[in-house]
Amino acid sequence: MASERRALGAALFPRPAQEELSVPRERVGVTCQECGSSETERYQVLRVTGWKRVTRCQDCLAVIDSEDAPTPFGFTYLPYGSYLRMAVSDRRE
Amino acid sequence: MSEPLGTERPVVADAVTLEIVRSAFFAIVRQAGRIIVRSSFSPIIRDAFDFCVTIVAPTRPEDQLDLDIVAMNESLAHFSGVMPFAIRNLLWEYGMENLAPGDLIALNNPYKGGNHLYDNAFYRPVFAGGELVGGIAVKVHLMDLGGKMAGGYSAEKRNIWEEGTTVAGIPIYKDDRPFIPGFNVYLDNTRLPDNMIADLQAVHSACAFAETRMLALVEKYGAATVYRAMQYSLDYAERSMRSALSAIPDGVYEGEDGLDRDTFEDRPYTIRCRINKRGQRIEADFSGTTRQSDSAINCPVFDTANAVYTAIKFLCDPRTPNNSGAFRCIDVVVPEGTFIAARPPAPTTLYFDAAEAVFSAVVKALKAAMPHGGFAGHFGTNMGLVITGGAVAQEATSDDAGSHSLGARGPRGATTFVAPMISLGGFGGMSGGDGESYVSMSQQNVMDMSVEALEEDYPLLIARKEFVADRAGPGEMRGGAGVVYDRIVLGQAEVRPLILRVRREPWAAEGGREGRAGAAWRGAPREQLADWFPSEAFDAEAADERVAPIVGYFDPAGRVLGSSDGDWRSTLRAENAAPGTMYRVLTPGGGGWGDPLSRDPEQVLRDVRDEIVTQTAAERDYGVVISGDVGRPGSLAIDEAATRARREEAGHGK
Repeated sequence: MASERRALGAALFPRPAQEELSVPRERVGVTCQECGSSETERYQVLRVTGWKRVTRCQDCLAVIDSEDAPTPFGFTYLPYGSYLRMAVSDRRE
Repeated sequence: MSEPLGTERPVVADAVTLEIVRSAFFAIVRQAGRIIVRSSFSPIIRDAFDFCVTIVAPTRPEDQLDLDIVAMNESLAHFSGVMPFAIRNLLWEYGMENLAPGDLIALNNPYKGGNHLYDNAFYRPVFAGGELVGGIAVKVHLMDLGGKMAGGYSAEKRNIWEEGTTVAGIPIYKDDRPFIPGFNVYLDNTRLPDNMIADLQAVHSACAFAETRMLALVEKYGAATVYRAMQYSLDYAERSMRSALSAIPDGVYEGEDGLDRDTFEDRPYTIRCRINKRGQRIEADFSGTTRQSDSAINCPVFDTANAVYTAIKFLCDPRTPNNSGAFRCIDVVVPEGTFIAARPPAPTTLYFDAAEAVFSAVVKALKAAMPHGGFAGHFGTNMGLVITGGAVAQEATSDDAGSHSLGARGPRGATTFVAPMISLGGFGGMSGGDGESYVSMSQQNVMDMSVEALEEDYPLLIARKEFVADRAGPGEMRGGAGVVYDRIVLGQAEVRPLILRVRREPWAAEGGREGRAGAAWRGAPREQLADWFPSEAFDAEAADERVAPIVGYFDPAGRVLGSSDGDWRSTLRAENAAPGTMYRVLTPGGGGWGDPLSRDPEQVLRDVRDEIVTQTAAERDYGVVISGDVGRPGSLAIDEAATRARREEAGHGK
């Protein structure tokens, strides 16, 4: 259970060693259906509806693809209560 | 309420009905807010309005509703944009299937609901005919939840456990009756239980009232119409925001702001903001921002999102009532582990100054896109002082100021007091007018507690609270004035300076000049308190040998200087204060907008009469020569010829 949980995220984090931090962006190069640009990147965003990993056109900001985080707490933070909630939901299904 | 309460009625979707119900949502949250103001005991809620009330949609995919915040009252803007996250996160963990009528469920974990753990969210489901038709959510500041320091406010905590007791999904009411184990989480973990119980009851009363009004809407219009009205309210706010964004030119805009230091290291924390705006979409990326701190200057990511939402709402669409629909077109890209997206167990007690610096970075970035819009810099910090201690329940022996002697007054016999002293300052000038004076930070929208209430509740004496001349940034539209506060401690106390952002002066816009910096001083204890009572207006240019600098840039005589000059002093460490010690806080003035030489001389004359600008500064900064004696306001007049000559000499034709 512990290793499975750790693969999904952590509940506590040390202070980062790096002084300044940036959100990693991966160039994807797919073509935007709205404007035809190939300036497309994949990265995490926080929307009012929650954490997403999006593929987004940098020229018109159209979202080409969007993946929800596994919990409302994002892709890296997994409080223990959330892990229990996932386990409870799995059992119900 | 009797069933079915309108849950079977058909939808009525005409525009008039929808608009009536939308307006009713906002009326409900405003009325419920008044109940909290009337019923809570804590001054920070009752007098400073540190709370919010919202209506939450149910989860109904068929109506495009998913726990959205449909309406929120006009109180603390720090809460408005975190509530969508707080309520979804709370209910996802708690389980919708576990909700029942009459519940009131609590959440204060900042990493699940934003802000700091003293800001407690409460959710009450609203059922009609067995169907969840919505909910009421409230957030209030509860003054003490245990932890290392009384009252919570302190920059010295190193982790969330030192901040107090964390709550995530504890019922405090079930079936509309107090759930004692839930109450005990609060009452057994506070140094201020009398306030706590009243504040929790106030929250319950407000939620119960709002539920009654929600059910009345369902009964009158039917649930289907209420759902449609929720959808309409959210879409209305979204349309309004998107339309406002269309007016901003597409482009990439950059802004920077930050905090002075953390508690243990005197090194600035920097926020870098890059805004990409295209059509009706906007994205704010904070890559390049400083990592989180081991002291309590951080904010959770939801506060950064709220600061972005609030700044854009402020700038682009300030008049449409607020709800989470307005935030749908705004995306935030923020590196986790920075001090504006801290992760547990980092402490977040002073989240508000970090969040306000995010707000300022966004406003600065977008200023370039809005040459005639936006505003100059506001004072942008709480400049807080927390004064706490065990009060001596002994009344002062005389009301005569001249013979006012030491000996603490107790706050109505309480054994512990926590006095959170925020300081208000100047807002930035803008094309439409001067910056307001004596306002709280942009996202706080709180009231300053009255002198009388403070002196009644705490062993403090407020010797001075006044505008200070020549601190507002000069401009065609000048900034708001800075304010000076002199607060005298009457009993033995611990004083915690929470002053995090005075290195950066409020920025100028469109040829105006920056607002003047803030500062703080301490005056050694005096036997006779009357020694601290002012005989004349505070003069920032004059040295006062009775006080020593604590925070700010100073010359050798202890006079405050701008950020490019002088010696920097700063501390976030608590100190013990003996009775009779005086703490002075001077807040920054707002930045000026436009060339000060273009300011209407009549407005400069008014400012001189109001003692916001001196005659010397009127001539130096505005080129307006004013004759007469400020002690006799009727004698003041513009010297037209001298003003014309002075402005021509300065290269201005007017």
